[in-house]
Amino acid sequence: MASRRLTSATMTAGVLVSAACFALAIVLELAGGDTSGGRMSDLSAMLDGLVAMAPWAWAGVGTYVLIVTPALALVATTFEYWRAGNRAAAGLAVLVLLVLLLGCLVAVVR
Amino acid sequence: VSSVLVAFLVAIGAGGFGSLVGIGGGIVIVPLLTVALGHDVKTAIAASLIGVIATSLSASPRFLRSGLVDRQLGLLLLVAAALGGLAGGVTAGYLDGRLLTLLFGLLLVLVALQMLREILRPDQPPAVDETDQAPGLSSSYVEPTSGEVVAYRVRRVVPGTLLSFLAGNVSGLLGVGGGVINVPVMNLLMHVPIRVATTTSTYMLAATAVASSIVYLDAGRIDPLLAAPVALGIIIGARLGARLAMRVSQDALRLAFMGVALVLAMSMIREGLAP
Repeated sequence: MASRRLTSATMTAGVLVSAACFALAIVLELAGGDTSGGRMSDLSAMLDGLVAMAPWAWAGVGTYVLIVTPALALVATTFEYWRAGNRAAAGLAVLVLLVLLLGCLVAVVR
Repeated sequence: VSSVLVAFLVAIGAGGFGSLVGIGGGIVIVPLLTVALGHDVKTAIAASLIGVIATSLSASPRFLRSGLVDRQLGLLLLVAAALGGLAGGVTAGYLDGRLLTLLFGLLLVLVALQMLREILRPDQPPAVDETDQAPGLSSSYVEPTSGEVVAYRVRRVVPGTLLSFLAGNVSGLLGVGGGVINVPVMNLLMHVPIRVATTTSTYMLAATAVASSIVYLDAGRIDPLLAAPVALGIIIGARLGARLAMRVSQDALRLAFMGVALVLAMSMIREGLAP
């Protein structure tokens, strides 16, 4: 049976990091920080916002971490199944990753 | 009062209530954000999807470690569910906000009716037949309450996979988890024990919601200052709800949900039909 430890650890780490970013964003906003927002696709503005402790930028980083975490967990799952010799299950995990990649392509093309 | 704080408190309530009645926070948070707080429906759906990812990721590690998730079945269904989620996200971009509001109102009515059916006539889970030799994926899990190993065979994989596409599609289109469809499909159609069906569904939600979130992100629909309090609030609320669930009557909660859902549904349907 394939281990589940790496997948679980990846998910937990992702949730903790994003929750910390979200909590910081909320505290900064409540403390009267810069309330102006920004587009999440503008990464350079987000970087500037992080340095300036802008709430939206920290909330944006937390959101990105949350969106990336399931994909990283699927990579971990692929590795766990591959190491356990279960090629079919590893292939299924890769298929799901390809669907997520297709989502990125659709977003870019649109 | 800060709008971020209001969204955070509302999300705690939605996550707690959703967890108490076993339907997740998404189906509660979207109507509250649109009807009560006046957010645009697509922005509310996008924020709810981030909440769905957070809920799934925070609950799944415990389920994975305890061996309650049928991960291979989950991955198989995820291929279809993620494709459905992606299609739902793309479709939502082309639909008018009022139509989405109307569809969400109708979904709320359906969920309320399903809940009424469960109160009046609880689903009888299919019995596990150890001597059954019909083809299907075999698996087992250890029942945590008794320590007993429960073997089961997954049936009707093809229709189940197609219905997972539908669940993903509803999730991407309306920002709900999809468990409302996934759990009965796995339990009643595919003969997966209810405990495994609920945990496997929770495991599947994150990747399903990511597929549609990518599209919402690219369309500029994710407002980080709404997504952050919603995601954090839903996680906290769901944990509080899980602790409270054992102390309150499930039927009373379901009746309360039905009342709230129908009021919100009427409001959303009226808004969706407004000229």
